[in-house]
Amino acid sequence: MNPALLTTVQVVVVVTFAPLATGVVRRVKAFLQGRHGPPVLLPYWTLLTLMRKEMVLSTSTSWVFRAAPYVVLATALLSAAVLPLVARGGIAAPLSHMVVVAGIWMLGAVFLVLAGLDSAGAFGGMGSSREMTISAFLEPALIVTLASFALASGSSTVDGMLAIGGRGLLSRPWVLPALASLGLIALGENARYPVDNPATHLELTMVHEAMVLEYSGPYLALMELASMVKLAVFALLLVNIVLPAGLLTTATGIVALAAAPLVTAVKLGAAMVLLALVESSMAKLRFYGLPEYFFGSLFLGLTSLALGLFAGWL
Amino acid sequence: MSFVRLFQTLLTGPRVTEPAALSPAATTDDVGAAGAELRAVLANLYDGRSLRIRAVDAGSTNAEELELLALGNAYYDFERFGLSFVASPRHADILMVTGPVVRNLEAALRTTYDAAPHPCLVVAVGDGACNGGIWRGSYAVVGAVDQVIPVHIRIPGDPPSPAEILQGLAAGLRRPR
Amino acid sequence: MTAAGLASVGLVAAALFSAIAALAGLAGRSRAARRLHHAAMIAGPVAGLGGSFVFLAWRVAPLSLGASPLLFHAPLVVDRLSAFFLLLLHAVSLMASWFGAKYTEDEQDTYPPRLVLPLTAVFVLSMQGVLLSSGVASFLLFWEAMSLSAFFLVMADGEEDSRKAALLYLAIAQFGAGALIVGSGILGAGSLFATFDTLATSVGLLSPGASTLAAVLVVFAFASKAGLAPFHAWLPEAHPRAPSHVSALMSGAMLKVAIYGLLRFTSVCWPDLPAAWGTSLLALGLATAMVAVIYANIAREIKRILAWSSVENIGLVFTMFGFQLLLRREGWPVLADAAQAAMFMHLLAHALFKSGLFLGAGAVMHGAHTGKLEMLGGQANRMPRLSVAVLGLCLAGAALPPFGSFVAEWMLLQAALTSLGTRNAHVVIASVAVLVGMAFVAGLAVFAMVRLFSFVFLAEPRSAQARAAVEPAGSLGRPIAGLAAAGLALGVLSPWMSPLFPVKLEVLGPSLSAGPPSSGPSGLWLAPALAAALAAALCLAWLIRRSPGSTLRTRRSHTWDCGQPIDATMEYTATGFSAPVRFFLRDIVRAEKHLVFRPVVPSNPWIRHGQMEFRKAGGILGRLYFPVARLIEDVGGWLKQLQNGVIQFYIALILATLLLTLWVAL
Repeated sequence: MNPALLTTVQVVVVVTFAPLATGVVRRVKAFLQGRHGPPVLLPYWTLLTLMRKEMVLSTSTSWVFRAAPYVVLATALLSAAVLPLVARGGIAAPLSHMVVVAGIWMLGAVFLVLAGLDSAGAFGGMGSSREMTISAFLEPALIVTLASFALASGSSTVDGMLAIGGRGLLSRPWVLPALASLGLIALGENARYPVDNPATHLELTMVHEAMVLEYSGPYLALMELASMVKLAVFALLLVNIVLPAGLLTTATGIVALAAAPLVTAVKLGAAMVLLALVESSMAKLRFYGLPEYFFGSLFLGLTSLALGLFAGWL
Repeated sequence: MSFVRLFQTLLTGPRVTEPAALSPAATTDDVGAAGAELRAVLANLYDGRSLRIRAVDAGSTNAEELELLALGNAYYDFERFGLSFVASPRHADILMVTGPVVRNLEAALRTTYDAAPHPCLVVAVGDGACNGGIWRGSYAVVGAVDQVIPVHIRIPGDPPSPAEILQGLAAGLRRPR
Repeated sequence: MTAAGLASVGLVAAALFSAIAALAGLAGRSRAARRLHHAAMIAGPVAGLGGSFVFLAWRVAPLSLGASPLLFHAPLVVDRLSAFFLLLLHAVSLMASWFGAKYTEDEQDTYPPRLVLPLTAVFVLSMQGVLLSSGVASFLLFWEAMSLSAFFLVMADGEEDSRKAALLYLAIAQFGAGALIVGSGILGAGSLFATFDTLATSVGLLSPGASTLAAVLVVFAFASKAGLAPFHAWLPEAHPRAPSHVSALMSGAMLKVAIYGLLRFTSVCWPDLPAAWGTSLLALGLATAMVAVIYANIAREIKRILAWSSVENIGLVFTMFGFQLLLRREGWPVLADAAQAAMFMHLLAHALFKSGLFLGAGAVMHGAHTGKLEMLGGQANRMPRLSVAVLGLCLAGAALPPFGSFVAEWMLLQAALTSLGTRNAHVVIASVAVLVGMAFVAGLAVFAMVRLFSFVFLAEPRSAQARAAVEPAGSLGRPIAGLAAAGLALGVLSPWMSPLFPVKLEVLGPSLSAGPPSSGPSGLWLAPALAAALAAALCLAWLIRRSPGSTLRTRRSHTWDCGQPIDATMEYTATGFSAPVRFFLRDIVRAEKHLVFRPVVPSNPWIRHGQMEFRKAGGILGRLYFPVARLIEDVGGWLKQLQNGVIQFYIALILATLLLTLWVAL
């Protein structure tokens, strides 16, 4: 299949399923709480409603506040285009170099933080300060974790990491700590438990939500879509590292195209159920308890890297 | 071990949100029916099926707040109808105002309405919000919510039960404006 | 005219224009002389930029620009290394002079033009001289001229704090210069009149001990000038004190000239420094960067933050230098070349964005009359054009895609990743340290840059003077925008930038399976591809925003305040913003918090007046410099006891010395 087509299909599928993933995780969490829960398609309706609503912009904000939703969504879309989520070897795949991916995510986080501070309220500033701390301190863990995957696969592009044959990355068991570390990073980067509570209404405990408190209408829709896409990207990436089967490649025929959405939906669904179970079984950490979290994930990544280097020597 | 027990409870524990027919007060508190109706109304009205609510306390006794809070609990679980509470009026489609507007909160109510993007429906929840209730005429209150901001839907009751709130919402939204 | 001719004309003209500017600046009281000065200050870098560009792009062989007895007969020579640094210097000084032309006119009351104008020209001229010198003596002459003119510029505003900072700077600069003179003396076998060519041969005749001693002295000299820890204490004090365009020159160009000196001396005298040098410079560089980036998050004044960020970036440069040295000695020349390319890329990127940020700080302080973050804010609505440029520069400073600094980081990290496959314990440990350290520094650098931009430009202004600020004049804003555009172009157009660098630019291929690195296609073309992909994603986001059915209706309202009116005093502060960094890294920062409670009424201890004091522990000054100074003082004081004024005692001492000498001699 044409590499350009692969990337297009991937972006379309990921963006289409991203709100569904959020709907599923909310529904499953409600189920675990003994509730019925919101309809899984609700996020789509929320986004549509928001797109049609008026926008109220704070008088304190500047052009940065208006530019931020585009940049945040663009970085989420870009990460959905370059990483091997639905397809491998797409036209954007060479850009899935780990340093580039970390840079793209950081760029999105930066604009989110700027937007939070631009609203001139204390809540936005508080959320921004926390988000920036989380992003900054997870950076070493992210680099080290991806480096150990690179060592295991012999490639520093994420696309190449999934391209190794056999049973994938897990055929080198020493990447397991790094996988756990990536899970911790994914929870932190996506403002999920135990770093943030995605459902909180209490401003003092917010991280991600506090930064978008000032947004309304279409800009809020862009911001929410961006965080949904980012969640789906991390979920699919984690699933694909464990189970690289079912990815489209340039070698697969056009028929497989029809199966791709199904495979993606199953993978996303599985990841979301797992996420709901994780979130339902742990409490949120104190913000000042987070250093242990950051250094824990860094340590897991380093463990993998060290084990991998020793395995290479033996 | 504790995790195993936790997941056992989570996965096999009782479903607390009961079907409408099993509800002890099924005839009057018909939550399920009201909710279903609300969903149908929302689908027609907004083409959105999603309704995000910001609760505004304009000086209530907290009785209405407790009822609103109950909407979200496992028994009533109003999220299944596509409703949710949000943390900022910027995100809201509906303001649910409770209490007679006391003078100290008059400005706050006004700015909240101003902060919410339009179209924004205002729902007066409880007798105090609808007409001032027992505080009507007091020097400390402005009076009903519609003396400060436009009100679209009134849900009387002191306080209205969660089911009444849902029914009132559905009835109010159905009414052509 | 040949390319060589063009290049030499351009470079000589640059120097002459700087000299003219210096002379014209001396008559700074006259308006016409000031005009002439500014014209020459701009014309010089334009000529120099053209000359060095022609030299690099047309790959001209090293050429001599002529000798003079004034410069001890050592010719002025330009080769690819010095041409790269000349390009960097002229680019920075062009923008700084363009900015300075308006800035110095407006700030005449603070910075007397008769002092600032000629000194700035001498400063630029002496940096050119350092880069062009081929002889040790002229190098040292220009080096001292550079240090001294910078010293006077630092205290140009005549304030007490500036004088203190300048003296600290002078002390460390003279320590460094002394070390350089002694080191060069050892290298030249007692003579300071050697040229670099003769130095290469004479150093071979030295004993290994003398050679190492000279290396230590020379490296110390350049490291202290560049601001490598623990000799960095002067930098965050002195750089913020100078006029902003001079700060830009100091951080953007002077630090790079120090790196040039290091590269020049090491390449000439010690082409085979042992690997341990690489390891120690790498460790020092990483430590510098880590500590400096933390302080960049704690400082609360724009230019101080920028100065700490300069220390951080110099640390990264030393990391890259040490890493490439280590790789070369351990026998991985391809990896070493990649790390070296990253170093040059970072040098140029840092020169562009840091000088731009210093100019931006100058423009903001010019408009808002303060540089304190806690008094600024809201400038994005008051200076929209400047805020776009400064945001670009801040993103470049945070090494985010698609800016040049990101490409440099990418080059280095890919080199470190590939080094993981070398199976050489020394190299592998170093690369893991580089990966972790660089990522730590990168994360906190983003934090610092975001903090800098947000608290200057976003939200509501925190003081009346910040509220009254207006967009600076175009002649102040345009150089800043130019530097931001240059930083962006450096990243986006990096594959085409290779001719301007003394080394081949490349990002190693992504594969790291093979032991020796694969010579696959250079990954540098990915930089423009990334920029294009980002632009495409932005377009897609815009299309989603404009999708049919979405509304464009907007309304303005005040910030959501929970019903209680809020003002700028309730905004998050810069101190609060970086509180998590201070808290998480409290063992490094060692800040002391003192809480004092005093009861308001004696009868009730619970109604009390609280006061919080937050004091940063002494830092490097308090922990290293002052104890050393105190030690010297104590020893001096102890020795002073000898001078008790009793003549018999002195005679006894003379006798004792004589006996001791005789005993040693015999």
